[in-house]
Amino acid sequence: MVGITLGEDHSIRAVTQAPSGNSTAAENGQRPVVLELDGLRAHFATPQGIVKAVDGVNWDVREGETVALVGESGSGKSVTALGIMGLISPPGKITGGRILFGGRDLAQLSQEEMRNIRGHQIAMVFQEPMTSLNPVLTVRRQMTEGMEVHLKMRPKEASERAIELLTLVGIPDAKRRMHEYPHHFSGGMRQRVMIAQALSCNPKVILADEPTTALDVTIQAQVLEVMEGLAHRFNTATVIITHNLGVVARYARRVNVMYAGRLVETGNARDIYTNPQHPYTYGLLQSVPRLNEPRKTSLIPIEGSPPDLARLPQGCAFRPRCRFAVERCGQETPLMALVGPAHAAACWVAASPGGLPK
Amino acid sequence: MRRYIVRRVLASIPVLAVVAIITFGILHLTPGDPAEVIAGPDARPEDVEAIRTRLGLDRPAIVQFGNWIGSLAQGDLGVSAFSGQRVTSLIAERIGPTVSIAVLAAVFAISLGIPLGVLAAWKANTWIDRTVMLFAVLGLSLPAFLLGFVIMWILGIKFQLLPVAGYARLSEGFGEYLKYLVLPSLTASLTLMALITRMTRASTLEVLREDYIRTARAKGLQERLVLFRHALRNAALPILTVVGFGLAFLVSGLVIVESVFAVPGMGRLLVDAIRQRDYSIIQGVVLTVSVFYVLVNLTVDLLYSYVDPRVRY
Repeated sequence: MVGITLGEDHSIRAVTQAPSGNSTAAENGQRPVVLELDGLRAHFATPQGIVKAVDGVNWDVREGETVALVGESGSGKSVTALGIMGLISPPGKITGGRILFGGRDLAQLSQEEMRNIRGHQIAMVFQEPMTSLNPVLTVRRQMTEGMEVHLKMRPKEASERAIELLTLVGIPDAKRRMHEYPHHFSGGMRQRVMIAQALSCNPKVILADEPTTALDVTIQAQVLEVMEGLAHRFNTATVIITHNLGVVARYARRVNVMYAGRLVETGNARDIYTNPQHPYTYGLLQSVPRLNEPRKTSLIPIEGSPPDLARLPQGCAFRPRCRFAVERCGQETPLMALVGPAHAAACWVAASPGGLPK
Repeated sequence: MRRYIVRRVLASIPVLAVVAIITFGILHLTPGDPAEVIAGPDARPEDVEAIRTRLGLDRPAIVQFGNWIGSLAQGDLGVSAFSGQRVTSLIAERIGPTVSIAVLAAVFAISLGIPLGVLAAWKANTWIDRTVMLFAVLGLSLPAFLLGFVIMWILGIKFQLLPVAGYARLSEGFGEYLKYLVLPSLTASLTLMALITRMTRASTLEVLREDYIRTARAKGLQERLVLFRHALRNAALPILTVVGFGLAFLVSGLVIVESVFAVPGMGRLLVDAIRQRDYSIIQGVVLTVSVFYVLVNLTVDLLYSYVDPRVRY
C-alpha cells in the first residue's frame, strides 16, 4: 500500500500508509525501506558562487528493489550517490537533509563509521570500467581486499569467494584469470569484475552510477542482466543511475527523475512511461526512438541546455526550456504534487486541473 | 626478461668505452704534468724527463690510450704514478666506506622521502604539506657541505650523540661502524630525500585524482591502504626514475661529504689523485663510478616492470 503524503516541509514523498511502519507494510507484501533520502542537499562552494548540485531530494529504495535515478549530465544524480557514500570531494559537501540507513543518519556519521559502511553495506559500481580498476593491482587483490577489511576474511577464504563471485558474473576460467591485471580484460569484463567486487561483502544496497554507459550496446544488456540477476539472488536493493530510459524501462520498478539538483517526477516505471506528467520527463521520452512506431517519425529533442547550478532562474529551473510554461512558472518554484496514485510531479501545469496539454 | 638483461649489459660496453675515451681525453688536455709534480719543484729537467719516460708520458697520446685500454680489457687499471700501488687494490681498499655511505644515504632518502611525499600529497595545501615542502626546498637549495656542517654541529657537537669525523670498519663491530656512518650518510641523503619528497608529492597528487582511488575509497578501505597500496604503486614510476638519477648525484656528492667528515673513501682518493695528476687513479675511479651508474640504471629499468605490470620488455 504505497501512498504519497505531504511532508512537514511541504515536500511530497512516497510513504507506506500503514501507521505502524515496516512490519505491517511487509505483511501487506510491501518490503521494508532500506535507504531513504530526506531533503538531501549537497552544495559546492566555488568562486563563481554556490553550486546547488543536489537541492532537497527525497526518495527511498526498498529491500531487493530496483529504483532508477534518471536525468541528464549535471542533474545531480552522481553527486547524490557520492553523497550517500560520503565521498563528495571538496569544495562540495552535504549541507542539509538526512540519509537514513539501518536506523542511522549517514550524514551525521564520522569518517571512520562511514568507512565501515562503504563497500560493506552500501557498495557502488562506477561508470568507467576502464579507469575505475587499479591498473597495477591484480584482479584478485582488488576483489579480496574489501572482504579482508570488512568481513575479516583470510586471504585464502577471500580468494575462494572471489572465484565464486567472478564465476557468477560470467568470467570464464576465473581461478586463473583473477591473477591477471585489469588491462588483460575487456570493458564489459571489467565492469563484471566491478559488479562482483561490489557484491563481495553482501551489501544491502548497490548504487550503480551509469554502469553500462561506457560499454558497447550489445554488452550493456549482458552486464545489466548479470547485475539484476545477482541483486535478485542476494536480495540487494539497487539504485541505477542513468540517462538511458531504455535501461530504466527494462530493469527499474520505480523511477525518480532529477533536473537541476531537484526531483521533478517520481512514480512507478509504468506510469512514468505511459503517462509522464513533468514536461522534462515528457521531453526525455519524446527524444528516445521507439521500435514500435513508424521510422519516419522524427525525434523531438529538448531545446536548450541545463541551467547553471550556481545561477538558477527564479521559479521552475526547467522553465527556460519548457514549451508548456505559464506565468506562475517564472515566479514560484513548483512543489511536488500528486498527479496520480503513487505518482508525483513538480510542475504547476501538471498540477493544474487540466493537467499537461500533450 | 633474461634476454633484455643480457642486451642491456652488452649495450653498456660502448657507454663505458665512451666514458673511458672522454676521461682520458680530458685528463690529457688539462694543464699540469704528473712528471713535474712527482719530481718536485726543485727537480732538474733531466730528472723530470726520466720520470716522464718511465711513466710512458713521452709517447703519443694514442699509444698511451691503446696501452691503457689493452690492460683495462684484462681487468688491469694500471698503477699509481706516485705510490706504485695497483689502482685496482687502491679502489678496493677505498670502495667500502663509499658504498656504505651511499647505501645508507639511499635508505635514509627513500624511507623518509617517500612517506613524507605521500603525506604532503594527502594533506595537500594544508600547513603539513607546506612545512614538508619548505624542508624539501631547503634540502634542494642548500649545498651538501653546509648542511653537513649544520648536522655535524647539532648532532655531533651540541648533543655529542655521534662522532663527527672518521670511519670504523665493519670488523670493529656493527654498532661502531654504523655510528660513524650516520652523519655523513644523513648529509649525503638530504638532496636526494628532498628530490624524492617533491616527486612523490607531485606524482601522488596526480594519482589521487584517478577514478580507481575513488573506487578504493568506495570499498571502505583504510586511508593507509588507499595511499600506500593503491596510490603509491601508481605514482612509483616517476619516483623510481628520480631515485635512479638521484643516486648518481648522491655519489658525486660523496666527494664533498667524505672530505667534510674525513672518511677515507673513493671520493677522497679521487680528490687526492686529481691534485697530484695521478692519471691512472682518476681514470680508474671515474670508470668505477660509471659502472655503478650503468648498474643503477639497469636496476631501475628492471624495476619498472615490477612496479607497473603494463611495462613489458
